Amino acid sequence: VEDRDGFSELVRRTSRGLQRTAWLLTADWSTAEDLVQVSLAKTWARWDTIRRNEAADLYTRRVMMTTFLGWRRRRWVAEVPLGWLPDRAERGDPFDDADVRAALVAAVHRLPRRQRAVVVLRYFDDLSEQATAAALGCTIGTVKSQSWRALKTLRTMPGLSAAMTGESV
Amino acid sequence: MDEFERRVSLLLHDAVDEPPTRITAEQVLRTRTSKRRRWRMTLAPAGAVIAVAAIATVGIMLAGVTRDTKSPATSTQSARSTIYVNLTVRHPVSWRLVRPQVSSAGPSGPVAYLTNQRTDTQCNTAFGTHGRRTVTCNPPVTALRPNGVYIAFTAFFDVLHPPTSYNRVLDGHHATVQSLSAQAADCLPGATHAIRLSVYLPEPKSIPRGSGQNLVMSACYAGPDAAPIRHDINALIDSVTFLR
Repeated sequence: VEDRDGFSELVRRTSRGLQRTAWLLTADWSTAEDLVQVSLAKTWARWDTIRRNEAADLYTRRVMMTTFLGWRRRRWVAEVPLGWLPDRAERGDPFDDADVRAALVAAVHRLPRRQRAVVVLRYFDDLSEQATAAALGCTIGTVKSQSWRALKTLRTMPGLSAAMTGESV
Repeated sequence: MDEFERRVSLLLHDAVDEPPTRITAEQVLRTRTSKRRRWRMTLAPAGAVIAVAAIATVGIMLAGVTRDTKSPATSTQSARSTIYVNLTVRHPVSWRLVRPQVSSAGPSGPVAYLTNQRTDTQCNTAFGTHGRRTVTCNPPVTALRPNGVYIAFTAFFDVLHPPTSYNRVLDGHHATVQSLSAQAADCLPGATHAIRLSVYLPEPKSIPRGSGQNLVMSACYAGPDAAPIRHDINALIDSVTFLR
């Protein structure tokens, strides 16, 4: 593949991380792969401009978040809400953490899309509030409010909050 | 960041596995370099491709594509995808871009599909003489459901018969757009209509004696509500862009 001043290197360097982020957003590896490919293709379409300002990674991430938020009407990424959370394992169970992780991921996938995007960028990609705002194209205040709402939801989910704090349910 | 947030962060990091597949730049785009190298090696099979294409075009009804400008689009959301090399199109986001499985059967297969149907590609491997391996894959869609659309993009060199008649100019290139019956276009079962787009791209530098490259898009779609799909296909054709 012709590199064309670094595009292949960008794909090699960023695609794995983008796929993980996309999986947290979409809850499905195939959809995540699709999201990343579409984002990279969009990046490629403007590559001549982007590569000059040395912000290709940020641009690609922003394209991915914009694409994800624009996919809200796409049927095949629609989640099926469940009225339950996985049972919390008893204290001392070696699979305790795995159960909590599964519960957390399920809870994150049930968050509204913008709140989910903020949680993934802030707590998985470890972006600052400023960088999260830049990736989502919104203000820092919006990031703070969306993050607050998301965490409030996560804290108030009985099965999840108890499992995370190690309390008995 | 409080204790709860730290715990969320730690658990999320542990929760995500390694992606099952690796995305490469080749999947995102096929560059001119690799295309030329491959096609130089496969010019002879390209002759066979041209013959097949000529046979397939027998019976085509030569009619202009009717534009249904009154019909609403089926999707308010659209995305632009890179189909092949430098070819990009805009399409409804509900149409999924599918790359064919790598096949050693020949260079003549489609390079990409767009469809709103569930896809499932099955491949078979056969071993011939001298251990030569041949992989053949079925199309990702085997039949169209009502209101389904299935678009196949094919690219090949036409060293002998560059098209001589055009009815459109797309992004500066001569093109032919035809409305066909599903039968004439050799569509999947279930399809009721078809539109075929052919674009001829002269590339005098790539192959001696001024040979060119044909890009063919065969769009098959099904009713009963076919007008919005036809509208989206026409919009896709209007959006064809060749990155330079």
